[in-house]
Amino acid sequence: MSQKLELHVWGPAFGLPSIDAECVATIAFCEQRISPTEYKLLQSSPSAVPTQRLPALYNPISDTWTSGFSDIVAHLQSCSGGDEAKSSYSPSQRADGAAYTTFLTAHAAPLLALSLYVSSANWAETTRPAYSAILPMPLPWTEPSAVRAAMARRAEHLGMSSLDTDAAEEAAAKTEEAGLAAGWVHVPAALRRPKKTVKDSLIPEQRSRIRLEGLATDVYDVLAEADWENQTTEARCLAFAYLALMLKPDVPRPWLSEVMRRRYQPLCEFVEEFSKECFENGSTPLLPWGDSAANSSALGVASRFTKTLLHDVPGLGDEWQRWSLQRQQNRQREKNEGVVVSASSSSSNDLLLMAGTSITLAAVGAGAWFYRSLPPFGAPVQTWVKPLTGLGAFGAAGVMFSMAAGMANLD
Amino acid sequence: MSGTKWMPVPRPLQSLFDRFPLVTYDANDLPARSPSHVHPLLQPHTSSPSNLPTLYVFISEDDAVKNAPSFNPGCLKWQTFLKLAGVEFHVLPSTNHASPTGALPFLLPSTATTPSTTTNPASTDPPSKPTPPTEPSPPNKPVPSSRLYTYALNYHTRQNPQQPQQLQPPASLFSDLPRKSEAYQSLLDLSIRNAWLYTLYLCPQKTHLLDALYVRPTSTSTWVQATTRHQLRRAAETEILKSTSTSSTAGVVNPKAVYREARLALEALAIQLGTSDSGWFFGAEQPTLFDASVFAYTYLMLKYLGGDEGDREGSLGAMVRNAGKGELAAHCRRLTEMLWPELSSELSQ
Repeated sequence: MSQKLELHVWGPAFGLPSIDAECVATIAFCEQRISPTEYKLLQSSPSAVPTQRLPALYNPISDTWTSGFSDIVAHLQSCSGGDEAKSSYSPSQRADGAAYTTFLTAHAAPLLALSLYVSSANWAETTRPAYSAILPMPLPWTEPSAVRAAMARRAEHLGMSSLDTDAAEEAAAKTEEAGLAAGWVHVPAALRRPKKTVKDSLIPEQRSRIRLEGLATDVYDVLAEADWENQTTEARCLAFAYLALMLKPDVPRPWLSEVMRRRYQPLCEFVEEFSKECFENGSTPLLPWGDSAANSSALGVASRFTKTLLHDVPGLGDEWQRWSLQRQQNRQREKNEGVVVSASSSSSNDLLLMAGTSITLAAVGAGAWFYRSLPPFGAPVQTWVKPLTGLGAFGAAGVMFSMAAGMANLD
Repeated sequence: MSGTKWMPVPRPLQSLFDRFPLVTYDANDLPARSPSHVHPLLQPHTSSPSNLPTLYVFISEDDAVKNAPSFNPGCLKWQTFLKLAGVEFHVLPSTNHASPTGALPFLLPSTATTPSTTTNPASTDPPSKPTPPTEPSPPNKPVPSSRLYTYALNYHTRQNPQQPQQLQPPASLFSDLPRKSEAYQSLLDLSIRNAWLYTLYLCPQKTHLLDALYVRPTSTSTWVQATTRHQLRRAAETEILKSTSTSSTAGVVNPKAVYREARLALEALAIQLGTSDSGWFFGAEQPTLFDASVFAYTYLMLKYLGGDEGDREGSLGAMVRNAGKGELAAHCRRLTEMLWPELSSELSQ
């Protein structure tokens, strides 16, 4: 039981076994290549695995973690000897497979990111709820936004950040605030004339529809030309994963699936056929889902939540993540190659930096505490005034009265 | 004298300001576009026409004089392509800061061809002959790398519009490759580029190479060099992570995975080249832009990372030599012989 391979993936969504393309591809690959008794699927999130990236494969025999679709495929092939894959395909098939796999990673992934993650409407209506459904509370507060940020970075070079209306609104509010601070005449919002043009009344997807269609056809054109029946397993799995995620989700701004349905019928057919062949009518009960209770106990979730919060600390979070990943990678390499990898210079530098920072922080804290414990400092000359009592407390008039009273007394 | 009456300058301050200016710099050169301007590096070549277009790339000054290949894959790709297209040009060293787009290479067209380009097609050609519909860029405006393809395409039409049949490069140079080539192009843009970036920038064993190519030319100050090196490393790391990982912001590059992908990519390219009868990619009769982009990486890998120093991860040159049946190395040698015959001996050893 414990000798089963553990495949940690994002949970199911949109009628697919996972919400993430690489996870779908890995599940499909395992489904075709490994018998269900040899592995189990565990629903997870990046914070629960040491590689901090999904899909992640844990091999209990060698006690190693592998993450990412191509790494897992390479790992599985090396476990099973690796000759079988080589012999069943011709060299040109293997070359095409490598080319299409890379093409999907390089071009289909940013396109999918535009549709599911960058576009504010699709994100709010479809993707974020899907993430909330597969993550235990309170993880939906932190992890999906981190995924979205990573995806937005991935699609940055396509120059379509205008789909993210949240960011656009934020920027507009900021410029208005700056205008208010600089100007001295302030027209209240209610009195301003709305400058509503045709362009303003269009949603961002309509405004950039032509460019979006162009981006989509660039990718679909290349993929539609390939003969998917005769490709390598990994290329087919990855193509299915990306195309299914482009086609299946029911999003409010469905430009990506519309283009595919209207003009690339063979690709839609490929998705349907592959889905039938691999997941039995698209349903997923046959997949060997394991019990992921260990990671979703209250303590486990709390530690994962803390971890994701730590990564969000500006400046420090990145360094912390980098350092822990580097340590993890070195440990993996030691296990794989049986040699002790001396901590590389960069990681030891980071360690030094962290030690230095913590020592500095401790010194500053101790100094502050010491300062607070000192007796209060004051002016060099202290004047103590004896409180006046009686008529003297009324100032000059009081003195006069007291003198008068004294005189009366004398009399 | 009158100034000192109401506000005398104190003696020490006076002597201090007497020392200024400490250094007087020479007058600036004329702008590069001015007709009389000749770059100091081009002056030894007074025999060659000085009004050739200039391609600005990452290159050392010595190599620029010899018109040798650039050491940056992106620049070398376009340098190779322009040479294939028969464009004559000078090469000058530059940095990203000098480029209008923020990235090298860019080309500054020559000044002298201006009148001929504007008058000739209009006066001599009958209206039936299709002239280039729009000039890619007006003369004297820098051509960024994204428009170099169109520039090369229009170059010969502009040079001798009367004899379009005598086009120096055969039309196959600009012929459309099959769609599959885009998939293969992504092998270069993703897998092989990542391996090149990792080896040159992040591999600790290759620091000396990074210093020699990119860091030392920027400044002589150790502090500036250290900062530049750090910035370059961070930028390369972000580039690699952005293109591969999906979930994490900060991460660690896994060299094993990078090199495995590169080996697969080179293998796939070698196999693809092996299926072509003509010896160029996708059966083209003449080397195309795709061949130029493959050459840009294979040449540099063979030249700089070819040595087998017992460093099994970083020797991309060995990977190029061993890919397939050595098709890529042969391809690289053929292109070198074709474009830089004087360098082919250096590569074969």
